[in-house]
Amino acid sequence: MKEQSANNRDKQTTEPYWVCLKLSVVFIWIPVMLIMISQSVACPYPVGICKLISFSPLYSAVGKIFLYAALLVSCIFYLLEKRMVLATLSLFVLSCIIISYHESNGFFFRAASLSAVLGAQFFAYAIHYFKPQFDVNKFRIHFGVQIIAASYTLAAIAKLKATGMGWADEGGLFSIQVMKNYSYLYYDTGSSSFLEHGTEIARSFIEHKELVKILLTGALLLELFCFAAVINNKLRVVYGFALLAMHIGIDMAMGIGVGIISKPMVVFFINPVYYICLLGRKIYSKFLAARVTP
Amino acid sequence: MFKSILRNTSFGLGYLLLCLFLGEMHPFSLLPMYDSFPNWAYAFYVSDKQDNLLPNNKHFTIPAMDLAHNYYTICEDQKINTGYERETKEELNKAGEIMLEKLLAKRANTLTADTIQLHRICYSLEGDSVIAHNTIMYERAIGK
Repeated sequence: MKEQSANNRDKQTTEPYWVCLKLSVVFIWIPVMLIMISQSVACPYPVGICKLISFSPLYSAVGKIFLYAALLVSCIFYLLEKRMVLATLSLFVLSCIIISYHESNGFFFRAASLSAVLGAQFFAYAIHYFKPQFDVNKFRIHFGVQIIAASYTLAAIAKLKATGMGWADEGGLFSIQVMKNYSYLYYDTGSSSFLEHGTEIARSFIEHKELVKILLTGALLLELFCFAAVINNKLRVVYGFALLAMHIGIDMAMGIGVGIISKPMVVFFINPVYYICLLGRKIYSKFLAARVTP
Repeated sequence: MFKSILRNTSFGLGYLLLCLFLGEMHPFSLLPMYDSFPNWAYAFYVSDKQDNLLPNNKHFTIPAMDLAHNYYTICEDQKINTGYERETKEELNKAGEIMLEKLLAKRANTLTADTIQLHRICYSLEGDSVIAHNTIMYERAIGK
């Protein structure tokens, strides 16, 4: 049992696991940053760090060149595992600036965990820099896992704080949110089928209040006890799939898509790219490599 | 055992406490998504003068969900109380003007309407039915 647990732990501290995780982080992070830069026109409602410093020069024509160059160089250093303290710090700071500036335009992508996981990696590398015996191979991932767990727990606390224990009893009123989200899809695309689909789902939410209550209770408990996922590696993967199922369920029922909050969760809890690569290698060695060998 | 759990959770717990203490200050957040279900929800769309929908994906770069977020930010900035359709006509007009200005700043070339309207739909639950109430927030002529 102990040996199996150690194997599991070793797998998650190997270089291929880390490389796949980094690739996934960059693959998620870069498009979000590019979308946010393109949508930000000014800083009319400053929030966060934008309250303290004006980043408007970075969004001028020349400033944007610097911003894109900084994104590119930081990502290259990060992927090549060069000067990691600086690379992760740079990614973290850029992420904070771009997301805060975007929020200062009145948009909310709920992308706090996206910056925070980069900050967690910087933290792990910074500790390792000052204290070389620190297990950076483990904690550059594990700190990120803890950030994601904390984010879900915070979401549950927000629900309990705003509505109390009766949050899951509001299944009927949930139907309004369903209609709102499907109307967004209609307003974006012009396809009235979204409205019809939303009306159907909203009606079934009203008709099956008890089932909705059970599902909402399950979702709330899953979020509230998310810290259980950081204690054990196997539990983390199981938790990852349970949360993914929750997000897919929300997507299907509410039409709001698998949001930004879930993407770093999938990467840090499951790391699917690593397992896809493993599977690819197995298939290659079993079928293709045998054919190539004379 | 306890030490191991503490070592494996202390970083996350620290982040959680900082979020609770600092609130909405990126990269800290309270993540208040769907934390309450009031009996109202707003959605916003743009149409021509005949109320023909002008889809955001085709004509603008800002999706409908972001437009709604934008509305709440503007109302917070303008000290307008939102919800249950309590906003006055003047308040809606003011918020609508700012929203349309932002929307038109990054419009596509496909927009050919002479006049466009910004609508607010308020969804609410009456009995066992979801009711939608449509209000024109702001209307303006646009140059081609």
